[in-house]
Amino acid sequence: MSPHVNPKHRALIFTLTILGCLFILFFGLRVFHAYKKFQGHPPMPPSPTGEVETDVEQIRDWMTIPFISRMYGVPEKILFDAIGISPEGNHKKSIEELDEEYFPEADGYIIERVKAAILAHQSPPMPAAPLTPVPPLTPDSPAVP
Amino acid sequence: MSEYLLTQVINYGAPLLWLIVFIGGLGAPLPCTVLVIAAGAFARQGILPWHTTAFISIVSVVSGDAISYSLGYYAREHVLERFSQTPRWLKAEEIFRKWGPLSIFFSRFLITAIALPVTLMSGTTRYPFKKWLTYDLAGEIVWILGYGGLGYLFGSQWEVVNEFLGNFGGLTLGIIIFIVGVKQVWNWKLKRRQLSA
Repeated sequence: MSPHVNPKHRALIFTLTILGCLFILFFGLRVFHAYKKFQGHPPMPPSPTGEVETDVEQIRDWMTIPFISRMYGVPEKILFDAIGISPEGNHKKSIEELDEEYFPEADGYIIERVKAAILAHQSPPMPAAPLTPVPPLTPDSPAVP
Repeated sequence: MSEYLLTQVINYGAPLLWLIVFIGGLGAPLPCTVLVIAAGAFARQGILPWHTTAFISIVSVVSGDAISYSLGYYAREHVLERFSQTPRWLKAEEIFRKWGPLSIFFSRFLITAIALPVTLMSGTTRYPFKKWLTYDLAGEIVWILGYGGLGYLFGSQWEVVNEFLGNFGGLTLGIIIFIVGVKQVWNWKLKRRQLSA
């Protein structure tokens, strides 16, 4: 490189360039994975019956019971009853805080109980009507009245 | 940190979000982008009113940014005592005049890691306040309405959006650092050729 370039400056620029490469590699891979996930989740269409979630896998540790109740359209009382905790003083606590306070030895107990309560409360899907095979129409087929 | 703040936002609503983005605008390293995307999803669920939440969030974050700008503005004398008229400082001012608008705009939502240095630099170099405010406001509107809007659009699946945007910002920063480095090396090579010619 040029003899007029300050060695410290040169080292800084080389470090920055290498850092840039590492950033591109690291975040590029993460963007690629995130993009693949992103493609698998199309935007949610607006629901005519209000925003009631049905997928219990969306429940996270930071959520509170009133929030989950609203999100899934399940009364708070049912959720609190399912985990056996009084609603008083627990409205603003996250699932993680409730777990630490009431069930420190059973990791993830509350989230599983809440999921089960929601699934039990939400009405099961209507069974599909059995398909009756329809014979293909032929010129000899009798006319349907 | 972000999980704790998410719990508090669903408990205390929009006023807490306004306070958080204001503090974020001052430069505190808070996970504001996560909260903005999540707030969009909460608005869809009817937990936050989207119009007032969005409007006051923009006002709050621009107010925080303006305070950071004024810190840079009034710290100019101290900075000049240290660097006054040095070639490096003059070069930095020249670069900022050239790239200021783009860096102010994009650092508001895409490369948020450099938002605070850019704001302080804007004040220290006495970048015209009206121009600064225009680019800052435009960037923050994209941040709040664009990112919050994506959260609204994706609803309970907002975490996927957050993961993608967070990593995309890192990738953009990496590309910029790499281009700056390569450009500098290229300039050295050109100078060396000119000297040897």
